[in-house]
Amino acid sequence: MSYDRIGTPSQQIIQADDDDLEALSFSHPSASGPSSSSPLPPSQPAGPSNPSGVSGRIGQSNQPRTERGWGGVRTETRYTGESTLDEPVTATIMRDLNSIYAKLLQVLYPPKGGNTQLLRDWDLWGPLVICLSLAIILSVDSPQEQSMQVFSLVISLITIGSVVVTINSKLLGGKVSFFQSLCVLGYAIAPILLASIVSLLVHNLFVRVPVSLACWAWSVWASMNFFNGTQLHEKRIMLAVYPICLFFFVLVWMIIIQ
Amino acid sequence: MSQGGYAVVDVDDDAQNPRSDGLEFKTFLPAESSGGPRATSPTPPEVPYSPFNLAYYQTYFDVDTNLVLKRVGMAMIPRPGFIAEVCDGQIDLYGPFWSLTTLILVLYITSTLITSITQYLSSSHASSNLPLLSTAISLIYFYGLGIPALLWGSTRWLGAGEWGVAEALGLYGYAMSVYIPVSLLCLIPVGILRWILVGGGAASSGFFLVQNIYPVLAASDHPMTRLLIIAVIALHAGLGLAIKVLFFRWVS
Repeated sequence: MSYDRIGTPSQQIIQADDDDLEALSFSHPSASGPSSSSPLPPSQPAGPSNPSGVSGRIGQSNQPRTERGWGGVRTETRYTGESTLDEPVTATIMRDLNSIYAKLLQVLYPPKGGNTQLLRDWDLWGPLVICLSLAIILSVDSPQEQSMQVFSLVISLITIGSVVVTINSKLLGGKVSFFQSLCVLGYAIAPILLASIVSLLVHNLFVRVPVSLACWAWSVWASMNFFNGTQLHEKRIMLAVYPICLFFFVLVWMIIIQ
Repeated sequence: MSQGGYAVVDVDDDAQNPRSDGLEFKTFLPAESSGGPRATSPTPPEVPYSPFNLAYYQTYFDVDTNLVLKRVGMAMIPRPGFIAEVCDGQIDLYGPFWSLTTLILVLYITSTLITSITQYLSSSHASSNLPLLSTAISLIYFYGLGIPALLWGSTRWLGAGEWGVAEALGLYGYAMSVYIPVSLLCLIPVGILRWILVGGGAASSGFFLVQNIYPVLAASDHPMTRLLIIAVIALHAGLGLAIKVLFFRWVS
């Protein structure tokens, strides 16, 4: 509506995605009020003089950074200590693996007062790796002629299931970033992967069933932590959690009956 | 991803400032930009009809836990006027969709459990039964989502457009919820009892469907619309038979 006026570059602001901005405080529902997202005061432009109010996505907050405007879009660059251009490939891969490991830890065993910004930098590599490993393990464990069917069924179940669960919580009014929710659900499948490994090694039914059920509860608990921060209404939390229980239970049931 | 070296980061926090002067990004998608604040409001406002707008469907998901449980419970009692009395004229789609999905899961679990127990008792190692999951998904989703859409389309075609497609989907979804306890009870390994249970479930939900759909069909002038109820009954009987034959055929 205001294309007619062009101000100075610092005033040309592109509205960011609503979902990402509204505080998605992971595993800290008490601090997830609308005031905790702490936008800057309107009169105060962000800059190096006010480092505590700016929360970027990558890196720590005490690193040097510069800001500039590129065609009206304000961007920020940070120097995190080393150049990534001429580092060995192993260092790059290890950094990504460490990032996946940190997120896995954040989802499955959220530390008190941990880095809540970590999951805003979502990725789908971890979920892909977990989903593929689960499908491979289940198809190895199944009879020879059905292994391909099991593999494709598990992959499609996980993909479609997490998309449907995410859309369901958005429809119920939760403030979820779509891909962030996919990321968290993917990481929350990791305990089920653990259960499938256990049941691949131990074929005793009396070990397999309790382990699977415990891992199912762990997965549900991990994803509930996430959905507690989505500002869903109190009476609707169960409606968002119930499909997750169903979705994870299908996977666990496929492990149990192998 | 790239935590070393330079990384370009967008500063989203200042972008929240409502700067009145200056260039602003304007979205042309209807109601998408303001979907966040609207989502938590108890009564969703009027949003323009668009099949690609998520906010439009939020009116069908404006329920809470007790309401869904009450509607599922009331749907097991075959009575007319389900939408007008139990749902206060506004049907939701949460209950129907997740009833169907729960039914798929319960059918899969009970039928595989029956097969496993049977195999365990006879100590034979037959193949596992993953195809049952695909069968359950296609059968239940086709009957619970495809048939009501077809029924609604044919009533519109014949000129009896007194209901929306959401009402048709909701009625069918809630009607199917009676099969969930039925299939749990079918774990009891008595052959004749399973026939009675599935037959009773089919009769109850069929009665529920007829009592709620027939007034819509009877309101039309066209004589052909009343005959649609025969198709509804026949398909429902077919579904009951299919559930019995496909999922509960192993009688120990």
